[in-house]
Amino acid sequence: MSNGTGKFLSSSLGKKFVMGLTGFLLVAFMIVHLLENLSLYVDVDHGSAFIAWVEKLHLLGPFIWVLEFGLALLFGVHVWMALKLTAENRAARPTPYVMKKTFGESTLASRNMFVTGVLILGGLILHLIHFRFSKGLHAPAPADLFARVREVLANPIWAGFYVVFGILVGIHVSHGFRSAFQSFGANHPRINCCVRRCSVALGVILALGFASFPIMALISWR
Amino acid sequence: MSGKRISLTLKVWRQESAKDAGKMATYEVKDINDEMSFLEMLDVLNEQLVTKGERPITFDHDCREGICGACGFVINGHAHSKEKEITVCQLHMRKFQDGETLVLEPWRAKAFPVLQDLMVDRSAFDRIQAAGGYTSVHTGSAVDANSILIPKVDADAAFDAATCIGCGACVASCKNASAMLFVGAKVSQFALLPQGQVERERRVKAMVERMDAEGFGNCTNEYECEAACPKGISVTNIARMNREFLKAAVTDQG
Amino acid sequence: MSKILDSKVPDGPLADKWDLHKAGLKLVAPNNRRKYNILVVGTGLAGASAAASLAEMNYNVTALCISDSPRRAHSIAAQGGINAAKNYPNDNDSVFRLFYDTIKGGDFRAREANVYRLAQVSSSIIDQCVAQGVPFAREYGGVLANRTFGGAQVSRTFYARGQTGQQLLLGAYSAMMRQVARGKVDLRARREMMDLVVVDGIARGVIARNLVTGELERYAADAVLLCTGGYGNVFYLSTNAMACNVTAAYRAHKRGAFMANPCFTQIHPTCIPVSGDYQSKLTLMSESLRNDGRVWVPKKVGDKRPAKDIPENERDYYLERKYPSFGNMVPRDVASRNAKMACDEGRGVGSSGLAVYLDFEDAIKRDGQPAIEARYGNLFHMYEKITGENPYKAPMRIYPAVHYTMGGLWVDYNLESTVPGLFVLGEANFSDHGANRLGASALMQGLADGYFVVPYTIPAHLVGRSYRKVSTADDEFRQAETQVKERIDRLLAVGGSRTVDSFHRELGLIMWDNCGMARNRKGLEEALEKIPALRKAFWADVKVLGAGANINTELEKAGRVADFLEFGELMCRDALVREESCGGHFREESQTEEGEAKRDDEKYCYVAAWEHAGDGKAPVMHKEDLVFENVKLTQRSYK
Repeated sequence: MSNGTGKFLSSSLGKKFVMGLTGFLLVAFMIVHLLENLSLYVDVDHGSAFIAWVEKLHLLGPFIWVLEFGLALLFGVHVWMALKLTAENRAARPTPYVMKKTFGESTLASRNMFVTGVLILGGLILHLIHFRFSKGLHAPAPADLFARVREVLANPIWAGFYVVFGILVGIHVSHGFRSAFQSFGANHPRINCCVRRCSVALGVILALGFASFPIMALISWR
Repeated sequence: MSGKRISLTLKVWRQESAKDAGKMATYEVKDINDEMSFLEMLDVLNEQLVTKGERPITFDHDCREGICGACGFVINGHAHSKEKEITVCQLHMRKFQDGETLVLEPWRAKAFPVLQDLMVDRSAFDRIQAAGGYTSVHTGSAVDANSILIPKVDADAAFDAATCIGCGACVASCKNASAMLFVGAKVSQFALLPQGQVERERRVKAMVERMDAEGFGNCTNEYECEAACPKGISVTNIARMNREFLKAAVTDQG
Repeated sequence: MSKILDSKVPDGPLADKWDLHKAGLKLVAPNNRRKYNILVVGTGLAGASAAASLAEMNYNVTALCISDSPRRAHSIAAQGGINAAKNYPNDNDSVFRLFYDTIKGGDFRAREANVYRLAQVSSSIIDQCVAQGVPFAREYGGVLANRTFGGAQVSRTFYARGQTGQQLLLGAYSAMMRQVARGKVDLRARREMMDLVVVDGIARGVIARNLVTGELERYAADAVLLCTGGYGNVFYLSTNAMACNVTAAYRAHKRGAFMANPCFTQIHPTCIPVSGDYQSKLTLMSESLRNDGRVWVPKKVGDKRPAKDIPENERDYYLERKYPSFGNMVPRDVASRNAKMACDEGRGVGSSGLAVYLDFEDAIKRDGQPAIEARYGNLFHMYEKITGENPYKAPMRIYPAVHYTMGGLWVDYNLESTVPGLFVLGEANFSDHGANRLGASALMQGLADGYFVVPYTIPAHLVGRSYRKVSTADDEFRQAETQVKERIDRLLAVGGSRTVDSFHRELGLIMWDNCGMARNRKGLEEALEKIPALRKAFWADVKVLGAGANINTELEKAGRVADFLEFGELMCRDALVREESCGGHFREESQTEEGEAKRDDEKYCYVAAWEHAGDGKAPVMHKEDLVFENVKLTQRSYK
């Protein structure tokens, strides 16, 4: 890493840029993930489409490890930057206001990015334990994975957990997506309205999408 | 002209010096003519305090017409009050109801240490300015003013960015105490003008570096700064700074 | 003519004076400049531009700023614009025309050579500011825009919307901050100059108070520049910012600098009136409003009906009545004086009775509200923000207010005061505006002094005189600091019952009533009795709490008011001696039959420069005769 790049990455603006970039890529991943999940609806009882999808992934062979590693890196960088930024932000106001109102485009989502982020991280770890590492270091076979999905989501507590998880992801993205545009410098009257709407829409789609499977499971798999 | 009389309860942050701990103190102000400005109301309270032998409330103020940027504190959780596009000195008592309680706090930021009561040290802004908020042109070396042609739209946009009064409301209102709007406005003014092109990359890098070193927070794109800015400076200036910074990182040497 | 007052105006034709003078000025070689320390007190337009320019040349500059940042200086409040003889609009402007308009606008009480130089360098100021990135208004073709301003028949005013002063100040400020980053300017914010230190008759430094810690600090230098603005706040109420004061200039005066024409103050006719005795500050509204607004008061004394209930035949449009040809567009001083007369008769409006109406009803009827809105929308908005009244519905209330002081420390052509080594720039000096300043000229003068005059004249002082090396440990510094400390201790020790502001308000009233828009012998003599009495009361009964060793805004104010209480007397004395009317100085004894100002060039064509003779002693007046070789003195007329 050259000195210039290091300086860029350690600066406030650089960190925000990385935050936005990793966020974007993670959103892209989640869209693919959601599409994969949607294949569950094709064959609710046997999950044939879902299994076929996972099997295709397995065809990638060792390359899937590269993808997994890349994904983990994205998450890691996103989380690491978030921790640094949040720590800096907290340090920037050591004495809080007795009374502080919020205004501008401050929303529940924007104010609680760290909280939703931490919860999502926690949820993600559980999610990985549930599915990715259910058989140890090696990913479970496609058919086993489907069985595991049925098993976990049959439990109303876990189903509820995944509903909340999905909603948190949606809330987080609804601010994050829009925010990343500003961090990249993409702010123009012609696109702002569209970005804002897309951001909310994306959040809603992800939340509804991810939350729909546990609900389906509660209805169909019990 | 109403000339109504109102009474208020003020809860004010009192702090003897930067080293001391502060606390909120409560004052009753009675029979205030609602044609007064907010700072005049504080003047009246201060004269009463002095007469009683109590130390008056300290706050920065100077021009009292919203242009110098000296004044500013938080009233009930809003920088410069909840009115749009004004500074505290432009606020009048007719905006308040009889019997209201108002909480007055200084700008809160690590980079703006409290000096006394509602007065804070904003010299961090001067240091950011010194880092690059200028064009390096010596007195006497300028070419004829009309040899630099500037499209009116660019001149107007640069002016909009240049109207910043350096009051610090953007920092005060940001949940992260970020100074991005202040820095973004200055970076934008020069980025939009031909005079600023020569030092464009160096400027944005130096100013951002200084801003970070001063201990301001990061931008989480919630635009509270824009809402609080008494001059209505747009967050598009922050976006422009982000672009400039990215471009500088890619193109500039060293 | 007193021998001491050598204006050092060079010989030669007017147009060549500055060039000839520059050619004769001594220089300091670039590698020697770092050996000299220059102290700049005040960092507004004049101070910041001087500090930046001198530091660029490699002098070591220390700059003291009374506010938390130089960007707060009151230069920021100038709205309209800055004049320059660029002749961009091709309307036959020239250096001579700008010179002539300025000297005539000043009612022939300024020095020809200084004013001509101001007009000469005006073009360079615009070039410099544009290069700095000052966002002046532009035409669609990309060239600079100009507008017309009072007192001129050409468009020579450059502007940045209504915030020209702000943008020019930010330009000078950023130029100075560049030198701060280079280490060539040592900027000390929140410092107030308390005294001038004179060593062997030469200004060698100041004692300043750190307004945060309360500590007294000594600053030594090879030259001292005072750029500390005007003294309009002697009136308590003015359009000046709250921190504007006379202390630095007055302290220098007491150390030997002569004060010139202190009675020359400008009173602007269209300000938002005082709304109560709590009022701290007045706000200016552009006088362009008088283009469409009609000024009136009720005919009946004490008529307190709302404006809309007063029928047309009971209204007195006094400007239209008295000046049928100029009507509401009479010059500033005439409009101001007539408003005062109406109010003195008890016909003023508003709760205080100190206001007149500026009515747009007819203009709105004639042109429609949208047209008026397009012309004055921002001003109407500002008025509404401050008063809470809608000027489209009810007439505005306006009243004159003090907003600029033409008088100041006497300086020669080099801008050097009667104390060698003490240079005075901007509004703090008396040099360029005579008895009345034209609009858009204040910014021009501050920047001319700082960017283009002082950088040339200071080297001549630095190498032209022999003076010894000083250190802040020297006796002169120690003594000056002790005196400052004693004064602060005295203020803190009075322990009386009245607040500082109450004395300031009382002084302001005396000044306003007796040395304001119209002055007469009786009033001035009365003021000269009242002010010393008030000063005595101040030192016996003022209440300043706290200690000197901390932030103490009451103590700051007390020191400034104490100086105003002495300076006010000097103003009245100057006004009393000048038994003529000129510019902003209207002596009721000297008026034409129509009540217009009558100048007396036979007797008063001079600069009155006052020497401090010691506390309790009457100051001594010295005269600098004004010689006009290039313009013909004419009486202003509005027929």
